[in-house]
Amino acid sequence: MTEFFYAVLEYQFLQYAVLACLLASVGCGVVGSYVVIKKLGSLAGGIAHAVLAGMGIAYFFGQSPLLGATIMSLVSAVFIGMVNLRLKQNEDILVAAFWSVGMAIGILFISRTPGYNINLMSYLFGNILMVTGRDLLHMLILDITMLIIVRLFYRQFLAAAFDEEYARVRGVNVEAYYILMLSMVALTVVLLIQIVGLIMVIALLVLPTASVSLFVDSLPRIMCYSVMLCAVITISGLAVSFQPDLPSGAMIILVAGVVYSLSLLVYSQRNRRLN
Amino acid sequence: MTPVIEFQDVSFSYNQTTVLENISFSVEEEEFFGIIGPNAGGKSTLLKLVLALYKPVSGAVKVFGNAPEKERGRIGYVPQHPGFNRDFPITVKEVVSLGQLGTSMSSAQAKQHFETAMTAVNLDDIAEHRISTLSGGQLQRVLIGRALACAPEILILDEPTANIDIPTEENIFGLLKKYNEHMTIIVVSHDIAFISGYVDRVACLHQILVCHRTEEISGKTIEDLYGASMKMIDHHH
Repeated sequence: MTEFFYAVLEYQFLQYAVLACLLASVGCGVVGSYVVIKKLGSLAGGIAHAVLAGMGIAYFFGQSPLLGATIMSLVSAVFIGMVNLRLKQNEDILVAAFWSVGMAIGILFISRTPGYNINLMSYLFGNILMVTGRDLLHMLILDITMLIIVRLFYRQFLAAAFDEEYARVRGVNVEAYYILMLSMVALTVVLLIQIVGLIMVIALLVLPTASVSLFVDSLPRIMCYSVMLCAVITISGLAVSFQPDLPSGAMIILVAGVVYSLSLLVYSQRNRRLN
Repeated sequence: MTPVIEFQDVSFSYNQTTVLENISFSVEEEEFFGIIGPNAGGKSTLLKLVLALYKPVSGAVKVFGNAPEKERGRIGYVPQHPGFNRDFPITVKEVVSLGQLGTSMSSAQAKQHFETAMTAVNLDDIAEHRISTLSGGQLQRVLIGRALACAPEILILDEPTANIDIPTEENIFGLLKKYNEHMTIIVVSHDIAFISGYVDRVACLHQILVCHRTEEISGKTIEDLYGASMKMIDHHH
């Protein structure tokens, strides 16, 4: 572990990786809190996998896959949100459709793209060690955008997430904020793709916040602690994977899984003592 | 007296089922107005038309002479069934402060009305408590606090005393009677005998609506409304 910290001081690619972890943690903690309290995990999964369609199309036309991912994530968020609001009972089918059809489109376009680009694998499974300065800037812009949106509409998001009917009584456009919330989830998915890849993105989006929300009482505190825990989890996963040269994305998710399991254990022990 | 709420020949139906049929009535300023009726008689639907959650199929609903959606900020609402998950990570003071959304108060006014609402329903000691830790009575006080936080001119309560004990029920109605000095209050209740001690007029609703002065309510009125034999027992609080 010590070698990792010395290596961070020495190598720029590791410094970029640590910065990427910190930047991803901001989106992960803040937006992940909404995903957990509003139970949007499966919708987030649908969006994450549909993103492959955007990446495949972008590859086919020689464009940046991250740009394709961003556009496709927003399109799927709006589409899933709109359809879900009208056909609420079919949410699981809708998610399954987006999940698989999105991946199918992505695979078809990739299969028709000449050559084979290894970078694509890094988007599927994450490769934090390949993050560039431009990627960091992209992540910073996404973070700032999301923080501004959350700051501006914090009470409306809280009202709509907590009690939809009452939010409507108070004049909150619940549908519009739902779509905006899903759009933020979509942007966070893009933010996290480089860290853990789109296959494992849901775990990083929900596990740190789910761990924190077992012990913390209000949303602002859940957001703050989730950002911190997410930073600890991603940097720990990166550090643990460094020496034995293991895939960092998988190791980060493993650390998140261990943290969540321990949190559940402590929570159940505490409840048993209190009862 | 100025009418603050007016229904003119309002009908409403869900799919093919008629819930309200040609309802016409008005509620005056600072009136304490009760609504009684059997389950599925349209009581909650009527309130939701005032709150602009539903639109009438025919007829017109006016609040302060305008369309209901324009006057939402002047109405406080306590729902029958809270539409939230008790496990949601939110504290009492956060729930109450959400009642101020949609108003145009300055931050100083918002703070003052928030504090007044918290104190009125005795929430100061549990302000930082998570709602999942509250008893049924405490939660009901939180919902009333949320409704009062916008300093409403009309307060609407849908079965506010369901699931709470009698002393708490009396406290809540005592508080409402005090607020009624400067606020119009509309309350839906199944407890006809109980609310008759507080309200000025009672509307009996079962698709159609008939208004009575409180003292005019008789066993025959109730029988006609519920469509079954009822016994009326006089009692005093």
